[in-house]
Amino acid sequence: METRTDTQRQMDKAKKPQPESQNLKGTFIAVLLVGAIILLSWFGVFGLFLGRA
Amino acid sequence: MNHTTIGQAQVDRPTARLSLAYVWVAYAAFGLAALAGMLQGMVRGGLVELPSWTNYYQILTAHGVLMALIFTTYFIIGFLLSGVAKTTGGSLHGTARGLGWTGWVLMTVGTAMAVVTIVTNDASVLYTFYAPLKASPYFYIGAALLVVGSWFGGFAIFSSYRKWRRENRGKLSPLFVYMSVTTFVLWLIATVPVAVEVLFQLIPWSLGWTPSINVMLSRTLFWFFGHPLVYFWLMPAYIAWYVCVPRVIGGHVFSDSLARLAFISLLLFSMPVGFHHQLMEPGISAGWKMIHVILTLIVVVPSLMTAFSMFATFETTGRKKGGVGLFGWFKKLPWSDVRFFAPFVGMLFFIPAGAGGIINASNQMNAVVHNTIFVTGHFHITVGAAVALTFFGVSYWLIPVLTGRTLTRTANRMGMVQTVFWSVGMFLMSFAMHYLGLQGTPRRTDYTTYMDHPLALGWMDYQRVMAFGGGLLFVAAVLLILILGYLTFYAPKGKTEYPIAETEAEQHTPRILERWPVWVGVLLFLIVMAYGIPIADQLTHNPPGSPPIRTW
Repeated sequence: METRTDTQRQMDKAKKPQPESQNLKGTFIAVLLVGAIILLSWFGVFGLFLGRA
Repeated sequence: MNHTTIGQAQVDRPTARLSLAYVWVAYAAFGLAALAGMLQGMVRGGLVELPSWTNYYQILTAHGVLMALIFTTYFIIGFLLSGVAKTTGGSLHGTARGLGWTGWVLMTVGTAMAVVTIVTNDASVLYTFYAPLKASPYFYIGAALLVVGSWFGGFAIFSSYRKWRRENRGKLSPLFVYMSVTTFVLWLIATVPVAVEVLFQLIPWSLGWTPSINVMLSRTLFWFFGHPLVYFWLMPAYIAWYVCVPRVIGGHVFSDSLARLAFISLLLFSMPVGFHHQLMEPGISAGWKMIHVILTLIVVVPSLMTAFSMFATFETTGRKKGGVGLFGWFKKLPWSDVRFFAPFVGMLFFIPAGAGGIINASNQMNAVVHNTIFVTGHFHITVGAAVALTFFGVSYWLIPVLTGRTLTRTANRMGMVQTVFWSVGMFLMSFAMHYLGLQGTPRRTDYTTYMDHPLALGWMDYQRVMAFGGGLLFVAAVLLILILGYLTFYAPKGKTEYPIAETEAEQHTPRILERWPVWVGVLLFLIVMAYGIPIADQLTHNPPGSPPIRTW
């Protein structure tokens, strides 16, 4: 595993500022949920189609 | 450089009067349509029987025309004119106002003609007015005036936009204006085919000048218009989501470029897709249907971009207000503010609405749901919930802005109650519709037990759920009109903010997003590609045609 010094960590942090306001983890999970709803509905009705075909 | 600062100006009196005139015709139509809708639900649920002087299909036509065509179009023009005025300095100049009023007069004459013919039972052709059902020529002339009048609303927006660009050379237009222009570019192009259908097919045929009509062509022209019509409803709701709601919650526009790109994508991919409404029709080859289905599914992309953008706005705003953890920001949103709550519930409805849309547009699965009440359920959660709840949320601040009054705490609370009634009613009604549709229950049919067939009798409980939902929706509609009447005439005078959000920091928006010749050129190419050969086929292999039919 890679070992990093405090200075390296600070430099990385300085290069990529990650303010709290740009934390979009919740958004990421929420859009995945929307995607899951779409897929579940689609396959649900596709199942009905196959069942009746 | 691309950041446009919007002044503090509200909307001046002459523009406010114009906008209010549109909004109130919208709500007058909405009230009548809600009454007709509630009656339909009761009839379909077997709870009431209509008197002999009217019938199910007459009130179904009234509901569809008044809700889907009149309420939406008037509200959209009134809302967008006010927002364009607000973001370009607080007023519309004389020419734009003149165009706006010309449009209002033409539309109102057209609406009156359509309503009279529906009331006299000469136009029970439903809101899609499919041939060979024949309405009175005055119904079609009224529809034509409505469409032409709405163009003038668009011209008023274009005129303000041109003036703003002349005075602000090199600057990117305000996001609200850009989105309004995109919406009306879509509307102007999309309404051409339906204008052709009405002027060259339906009117001469209903007057008896031509003996028969090419039904296939008329339906193709209708759906060339009919699908972008859905986006004409949705895009103003998206404007409220992208530009107004972030300000209401104390946040910012997440990304200016993303918002503009989403709108350009909606413009391009809402038009060459009409065959997904005609998947079960003969006369169009499977290959062309497949092309339209593929283009339809591309519309998923800007819709998901919008979903991402909304969540991102909510999350960044909620975190700034102290929300922590994965979903802590969610609790920080202003849940007791109807200006946020109503559109937010609309957004939630749009998730199953979008999922249902993808099902409808998939060719094989369309066979499962075609002409069933699933489709009715689908467009009720699209236009009747996502769009309508957003328009209600907008009205709660727009009307006080236009009348120089304030949304009081009590009015806000009543608005919350109204939103809950509407949402619960719509949930119950549309859930039952989706469920019944998957069992094969047909749409657009009067109450019937199909000679007491056990299958149809099994639907009855759910049809009563539909009726109950319709009852709740009607209560919500009455409440809404009462609140809006209060906000127009009685609420205390004061300053209400027109919520317009901006980006938090200066962002670089690619200039190509505002080069209209490029996008209109791409759109025309897509239209010619998707419709050129099929329409040429329908013209050259002209079927015998149908004489007019009056089934009632």
